[in-house]
Amino acid sequence: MSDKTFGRIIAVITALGILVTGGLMWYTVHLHGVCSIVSYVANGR
Amino acid sequence: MGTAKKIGAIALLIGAFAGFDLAIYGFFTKRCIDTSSEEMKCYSVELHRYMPFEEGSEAVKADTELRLSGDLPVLDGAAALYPVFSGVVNSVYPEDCVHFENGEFTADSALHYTNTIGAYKAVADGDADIIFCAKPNDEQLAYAEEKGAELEMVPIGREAFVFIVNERNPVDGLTSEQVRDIFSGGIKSWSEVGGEHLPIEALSRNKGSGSQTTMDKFMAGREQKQSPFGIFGRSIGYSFRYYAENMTDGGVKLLALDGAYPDREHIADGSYPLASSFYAIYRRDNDNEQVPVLIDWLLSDEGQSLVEQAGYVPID
Repeated sequence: MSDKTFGRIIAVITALGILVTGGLMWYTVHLHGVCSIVSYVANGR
Repeated sequence: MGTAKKIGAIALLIGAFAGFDLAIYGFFTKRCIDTSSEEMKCYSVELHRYMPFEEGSEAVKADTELRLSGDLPVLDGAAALYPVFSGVVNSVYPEDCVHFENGEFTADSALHYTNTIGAYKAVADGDADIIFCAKPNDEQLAYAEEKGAELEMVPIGREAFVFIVNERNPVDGLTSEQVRDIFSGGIKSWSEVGGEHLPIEALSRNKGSGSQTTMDKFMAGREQKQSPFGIFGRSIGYSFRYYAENMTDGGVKLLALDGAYPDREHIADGSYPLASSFYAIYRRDNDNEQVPVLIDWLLSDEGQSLVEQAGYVPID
């Protein structure tokens, strides 16, 4: 694998990873704001 | 770098992101996922479950000969008390008085539901004749005063304000002082109250809600604080007994407080320290003649039996 190809793969994975992680965190914050206190306690530990 | 090492680095990067995202999902996202019905998520109570006059409804019906007609008092109130006031309508109102369209009660319905914050506004504005709630907070009283509304609050039943934890939490009870210390940040770990070495996530509710107003009074001026590390531990919240036990999907347990478990026996005999009245509230200047009729009925044996049927403790 050439260094150029390796660099591109790393860049794509990093970009996708940041997108997915960012989306998951945004979704979690959104859910946290709307879920009921009883549901939150029930679904936790 | 050789090809094998490059592939290893790529796999490591993918694994790092996947592991991190799985951890976020497992620790945080999953517990925020509310699997209750859309109606429950929207209204905090399943209106159809207690809808008056509907077949299969769990709305209670008192054994009474009272039947209101004409200018019917419009009822509204808190989520936790919806089974009570929907039961009132189901027992003494005519069947054609409830109108529910597109997921909400219409303006001409005798039964409304806007929860505590909406109900206090509605009674002050004159949009509701009688509301069923816990006591108001200072802002709600100030709003009523601004609207020239003197509110009459008639206790019609008793309910317990409860602290809830996940049913897997080994802690079964706390003292009142421990609860205040937990919610003010003085106690940060469950190990300090007989539980595991895990942080405490002390939850809170929105200002103006019945449970938050009650909690503010319980805290007696102490500020509620939340540790950012609590999310890695076990959470504790608060609600009203009947709501937490019967109007949700389960998975929580109620804590004993100062040695008394919040069941109907301990609420009735006063040994549970946070048992308090809930009220039928109306404007003193309301000239609807059926308002005092309904209030008197709620305080009668028949009305109190409805309160008991709905799952609450009668006032005596």
